[in-house]
Amino acid sequence: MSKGSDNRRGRDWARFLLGLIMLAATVLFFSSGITPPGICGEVLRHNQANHIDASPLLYSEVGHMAELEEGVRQLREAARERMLKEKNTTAQ
Amino acid sequence: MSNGISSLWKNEDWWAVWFGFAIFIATLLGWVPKIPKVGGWTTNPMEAFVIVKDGITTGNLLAPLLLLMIFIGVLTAIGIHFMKVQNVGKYLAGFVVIFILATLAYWIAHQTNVKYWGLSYAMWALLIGLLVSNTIGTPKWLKAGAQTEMFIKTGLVLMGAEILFKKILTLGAPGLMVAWIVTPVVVIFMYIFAMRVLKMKNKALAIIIAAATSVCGVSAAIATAAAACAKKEDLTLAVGMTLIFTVAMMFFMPLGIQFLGMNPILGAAWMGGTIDSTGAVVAAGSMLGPDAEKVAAVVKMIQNILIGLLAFCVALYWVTKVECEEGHKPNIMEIWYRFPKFVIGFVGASLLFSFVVVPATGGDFKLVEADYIKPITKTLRGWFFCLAFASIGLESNFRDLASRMEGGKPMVLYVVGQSFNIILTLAIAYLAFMVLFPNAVG
Repeated sequence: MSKGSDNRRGRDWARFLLGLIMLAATVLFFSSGITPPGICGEVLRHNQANHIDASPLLYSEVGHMAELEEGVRQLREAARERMLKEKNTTAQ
Repeated sequence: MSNGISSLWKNEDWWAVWFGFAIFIATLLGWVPKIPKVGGWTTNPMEAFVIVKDGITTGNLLAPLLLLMIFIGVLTAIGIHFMKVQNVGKYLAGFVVIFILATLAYWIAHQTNVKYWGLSYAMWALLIGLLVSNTIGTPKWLKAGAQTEMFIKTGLVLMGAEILFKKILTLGAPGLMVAWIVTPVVVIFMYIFAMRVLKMKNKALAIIIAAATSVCGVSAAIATAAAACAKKEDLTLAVGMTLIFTVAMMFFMPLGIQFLGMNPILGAAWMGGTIDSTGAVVAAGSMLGPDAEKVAAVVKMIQNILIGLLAFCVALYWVTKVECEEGHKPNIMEIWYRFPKFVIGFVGASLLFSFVVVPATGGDFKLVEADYIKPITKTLRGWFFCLAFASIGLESNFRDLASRMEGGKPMVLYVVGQSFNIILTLAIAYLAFMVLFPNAVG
């Protein structure tokens, strides 16, 4: 192998190591629990306090999706009952 | 692409269908055990690989993960053998390393604080792959294992099982209005804007960005990219943009809604219709209260169900309009030959689970989700997508990505499209939840 290609290979590995360090630093930053100050970090602090996983891509990946769906059904049921009561009161 | 009967065993699309349906049949027959997934951890990285039952450590995940790697490797190697796209031995050698990289991506993504930021495995798998390909370069033997298309298409067929049509009625008419009226309008608007105003040359990238913005980010991007036969770099760009903007919208939309003193249910429906990924929608909705969290998540869920229909329409449009010579009208057989068959598998899986499997269990989709989808098909789908993103990263380089930017046009498209989406969704959500059905929820 020529000296030129050896140098290029060395440079590539150096870039890889640098990239690896940057990736590790990024992971360290996000996993540290540090939140942006003030209003920017409010949602993040809320997620931390309530243990909310914000990473799911699709609804089926949300751990408590079944409870959320059931909650909406109950909300709709309560709204329907309230409307019926109001209707009955108006009729009386 | 082979067009005759041999396409059934030579075509990648058909193999994705065979893999997917073989897994479904085995799952429904009870032959597939719970699929292992990398666990969560906070300070001790090894916690991710421990099996805990009722608070007691019962073992570690190394053997189950090894078995999973062998299962996926052998299953996909059968397809590789018949398609003759790669030497099976070389494929398996590359596959093992890609599986390890996917596991690493999952391991990072499942760290507790990383999850709070909403940074999914897709991003980490892409970054790890990009790191290798843009520094030391991806060696040939590793590229042999990077069968991106096969991983994506198989993942999509498996995803079909998660798209249960019955769920679209969970929130009634107002939910349907927000999720199903705005979405197609935004997709069509963005595509026309990209072609006529921005004059983007890359039609596939335009439709991927439109789908990601209007439906549900990464999942919709993958589905449309495969349906439109897009380049890997296009998917990387669209996914990168959507991930960044999703985090930004999750951070600022609930604060803006609180600042404006907007009705929380209206705000929830607005966020459910606009923020790209479901996890970010749940987090942002939760900021407005428990009822808002429920409404936001369900609006997003109803929107998620559009993925199959969207992929089908995009595939049909691509086959009949985009990939056709001008003036040439393809006949039915031509459309059939060129139509991406995995889309049929994707939609077929959705129909199978919605109208056969769920009714067969007495209409209890919670049971189907708990017994078949969550422990098996969903987890396997996640692995296939993670393998796909690691492979995409390994095959992409920054120079190609930069060349696809067309002077920042994709970014302009995203910003304009998302702004239009935000305005239209607010208008329709107001109409649905405040004017037409003010007593629908709460």
